[in-house]
Amino acid sequence: MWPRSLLAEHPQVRKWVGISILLGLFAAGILVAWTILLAGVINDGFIKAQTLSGVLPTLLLMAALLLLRALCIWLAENSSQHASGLLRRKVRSDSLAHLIAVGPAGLSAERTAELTSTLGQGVDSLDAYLSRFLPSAALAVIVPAGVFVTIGILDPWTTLILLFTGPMLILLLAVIGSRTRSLTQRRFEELGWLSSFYLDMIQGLATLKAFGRAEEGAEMVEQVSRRYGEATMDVLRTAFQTSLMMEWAATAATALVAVQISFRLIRGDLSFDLALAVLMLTPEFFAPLRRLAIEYHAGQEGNAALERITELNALPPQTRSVTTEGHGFSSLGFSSLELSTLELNTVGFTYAGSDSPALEQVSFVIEQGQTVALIGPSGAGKSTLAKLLMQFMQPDQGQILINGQPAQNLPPSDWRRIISWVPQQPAFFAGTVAQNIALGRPDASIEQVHEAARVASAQGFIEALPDGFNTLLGENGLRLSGGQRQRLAIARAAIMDTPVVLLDEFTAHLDEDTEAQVVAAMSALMQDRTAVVIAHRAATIASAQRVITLDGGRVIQGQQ
Amino acid sequence: MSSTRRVIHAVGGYRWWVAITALLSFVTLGAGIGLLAMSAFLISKSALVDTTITLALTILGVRVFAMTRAVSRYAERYVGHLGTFRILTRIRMWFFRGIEPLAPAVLMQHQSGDLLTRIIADIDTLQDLYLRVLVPPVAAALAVGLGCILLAGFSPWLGIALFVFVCLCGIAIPLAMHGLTRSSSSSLLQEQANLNATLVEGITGIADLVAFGREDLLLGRAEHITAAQQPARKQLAQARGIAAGLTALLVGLAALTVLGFGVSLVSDGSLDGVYLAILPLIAIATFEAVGPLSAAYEHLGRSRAAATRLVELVDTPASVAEPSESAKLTLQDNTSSALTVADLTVTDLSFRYAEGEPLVLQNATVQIPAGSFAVITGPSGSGKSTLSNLLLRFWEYSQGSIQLNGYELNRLGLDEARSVVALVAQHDHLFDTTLRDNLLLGDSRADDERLFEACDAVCLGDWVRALPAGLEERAGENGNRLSGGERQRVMIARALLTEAPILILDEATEHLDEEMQLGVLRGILRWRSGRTTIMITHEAPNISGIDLRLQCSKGTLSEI
Repeated sequence: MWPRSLLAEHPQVRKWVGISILLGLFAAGILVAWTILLAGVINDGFIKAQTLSGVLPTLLLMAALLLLRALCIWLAENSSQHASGLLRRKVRSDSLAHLIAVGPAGLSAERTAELTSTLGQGVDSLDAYLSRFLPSAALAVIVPAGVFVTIGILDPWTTLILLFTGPMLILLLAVIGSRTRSLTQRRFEELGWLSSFYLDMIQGLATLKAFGRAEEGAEMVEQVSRRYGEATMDVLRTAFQTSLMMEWAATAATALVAVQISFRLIRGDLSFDLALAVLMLTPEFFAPLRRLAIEYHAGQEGNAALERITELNALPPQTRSVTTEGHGFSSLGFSSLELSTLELNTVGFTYAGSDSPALEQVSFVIEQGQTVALIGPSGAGKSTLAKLLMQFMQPDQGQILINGQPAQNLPPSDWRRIISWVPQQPAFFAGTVAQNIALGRPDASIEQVHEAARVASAQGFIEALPDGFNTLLGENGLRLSGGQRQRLAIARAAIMDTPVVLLDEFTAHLDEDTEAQVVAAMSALMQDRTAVVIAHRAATIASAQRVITLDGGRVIQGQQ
Repeated sequence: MSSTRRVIHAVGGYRWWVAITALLSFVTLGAGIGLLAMSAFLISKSALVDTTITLALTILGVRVFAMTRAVSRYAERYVGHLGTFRILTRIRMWFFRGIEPLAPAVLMQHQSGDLLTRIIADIDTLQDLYLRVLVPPVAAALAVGLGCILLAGFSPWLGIALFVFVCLCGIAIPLAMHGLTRSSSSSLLQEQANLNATLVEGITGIADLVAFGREDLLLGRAEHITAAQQPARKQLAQARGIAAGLTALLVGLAALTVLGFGVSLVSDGSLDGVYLAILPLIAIATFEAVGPLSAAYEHLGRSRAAATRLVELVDTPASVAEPSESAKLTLQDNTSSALTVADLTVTDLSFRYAEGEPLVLQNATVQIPAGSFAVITGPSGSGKSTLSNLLLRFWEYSQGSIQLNGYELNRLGLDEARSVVALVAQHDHLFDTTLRDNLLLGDSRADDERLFEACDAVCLGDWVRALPAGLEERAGENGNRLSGGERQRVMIARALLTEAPILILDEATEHLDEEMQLGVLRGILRWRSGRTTIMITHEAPNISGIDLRLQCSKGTLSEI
């Protein structure tokens, strides 16, 4: 089961959960003793007709017990929060690190919003699981047993009623619980779906408006919200039925115990103080079970999140990213001048779930300083080749060699010093323009940032922005035009100063003037560098020293 | 007015749900008091009598209370949640309608992860506002009234004593906790929104992060935020622990005080000893109503923070306002048929996106007669796209004039103004649904034949026919299952279907190779039959039939 492996992996967490459970047990024990004392005082006042001063010592002792119990409750809450804090941080970091290792190629089939809700709210729901559900589950086993034994000592006959109703309740809980499980799973999926839907709606709101369909959007929001509410209601209904049965069984048992005891009292089989103690302890036998029924829902939510997280952690890593390394450029494996060749040797790749290979027997050698245009119809395998070159995934067959060395033998940090990338649709991150240019070299000086911007012909427009290089970019730099985004992406690659540059359709969004400037700047920059350009435009293809044509995953021209 | 009130009133329809739920909750609590009191009375009486006959009524009472309690608990929860989900759906619609006027001008200043948090998590949080903030005080007031009156029946002092303890526990503790947790709750929500924003941004841009070795922007930031949440979470747990401990303490002390009082009343003969056991049990049962109150304040804090974040966005003034009824013009005379031709006249139009930013349009003047094909060229950032943003009324203009058929654009209703223009822009959105649904956005009444005609016009028909699912093929998240060119053409086909008198292609064919671009343009020109077509591009296409060639440079338009 989940909790076991979860706790086994995190001994610190286990320790604090254990402490919390122990404190809970202690509090429950105090309550039992207190209840018995309460029955004693009532007996003294009613049957023995004692005065207040007679019972006062006991009352004071009971008040002291209450203080002790309050302390236990407070400490238990603190320890379980401590445990869940530890777990939340660990699980979130580990899963994110794994997602990064899975990489852009491996995640292309996943939905951003669903991943966000799993790693955000999903991980947070472990909180309730660990701090409320697990302790309740442990207490639900131990406390009733303790109460049962206590009642057994006070009045063995009553235990017969508990013996009958107790296990019945647990059985009931298990049966209904298994139903809730699949429903909760469904609700969790529904939540992921809901997130994707709303993200889609929010990002497409301007488009909906442009087509005059915003009101239909609101209606769809209503429908989807209804559906989500219904799915939640299905889960809750089962949860409520559970608690109805629990409540009914507990109150019925209390009533039964009361009636049974009253008969035996009349017959004189039982003393009043014992009878009263048993009556008041009976609800305590059921209380932990009822509490568990209430927390069961929270537990299931955490469980569903855990399952999804485990699923994500099972995705095979495709990149070779190392997340803990630094970003210094001090110790290059070799300098750019030492780079001589980039070679693809019978490289093949087939996507999981696809029958036909996306790349097959692709071999070519690019000498240092060459600019190579990669062309071909869409679906020819250009993007796949780009992903392999960026090491977002590894070839099934063949090898990518640099200076005759297989790329996969190089540490990823060295690979990034060899190749930088200008993607088709660059993503920018919350931060200033300068920070976005210096993405791959956060230690770059402001002069280096300016130089990179100059190379990419971006300096002019950046300086015209309200805060120049310190202008904040919103999500994905939305206020920038396509051309501006492209130039920032080029600047971002230029600052890396790598021997190889991979450009994905870099001229696609540039107007004639800018394109000419950038082509000139790039070719000057790439004097001694190797460039692979996935090209669509004639100007780019014409300026390339070599053209490689791909079709159906094979090189059909330009192989040499 | 506080933000929670603002949301409650804007959405309405909650009074009956809250009243019924509170009433059912009171029945549950009252039955609990009845059950314990009756049981204790039964036992006490049994110690005195020697026949069961006199107890028959009491036994019946015990059973009735037991049944009532179970059933009313179920009903309370069921009704409460059902009502809440209805209300949440209304809140979602209210929020969606509220942010609709803000797209895209205001919304683009927010990250979509943040907006997603608001529409899902914040609104889910408001669920507690109804169930855990509004209902418990009403139910508790009724139940406490019942408990105190019952005790006061034995002696007014007993009623007063219980009342004092209940007030301490139900009002003083929650108020203190509320003060303690208020800032933590809101900082926690803010951190959660930050986390979601970081996750969305990082997962969307994961390729760029991996390529530039900046996994830390996702991992490090997420870890940092998770760690930053820790103190607030700790403080909340601390407050919860203290509240739970103190509550347990006060319940016990109330029972002891009432019992002590009772013992002295019995010993001086003013109370029959048979009632002694009832007194502490009524006190304990009454406190069941008070428990949820301390949580109510915690939930109120969270609900308020959530509501504030919703209201803050909804109350942001939109960049474009609907003209007042008196000033409103309409293009259509009394004929109901849609407008088919439109003359567009722009005079001395100047525009900047925000105070202090440079002018993107400066005294732009142009006249595009109905039915003509105009091509606007210019470098990136020259203001070409701004014109389409203004025509679609996404931003307000104040200097200069834009006239349609001689009517000033900003005096037309927003929906009507938008119905005149069909725009295909760089940042347009494709919805994560089928191709058909995306196309139907253009014309919801179009049949398959019509959809294929539009696809054929943009050279996409054969591709759609060859798809395994045809029009039912899914487009993926923002069209990511399509290639750049396919995506672009689906958007053009969608715009063609609208039959709007003005079609604007804002860098809409830039992803296509030259041959395809010409094919698509010819298709558009055949389709348009008399409608105005404005093409905004970096490079004028080599095609015949261009009526008007305009050059956009530094915010001005000139004919070439």
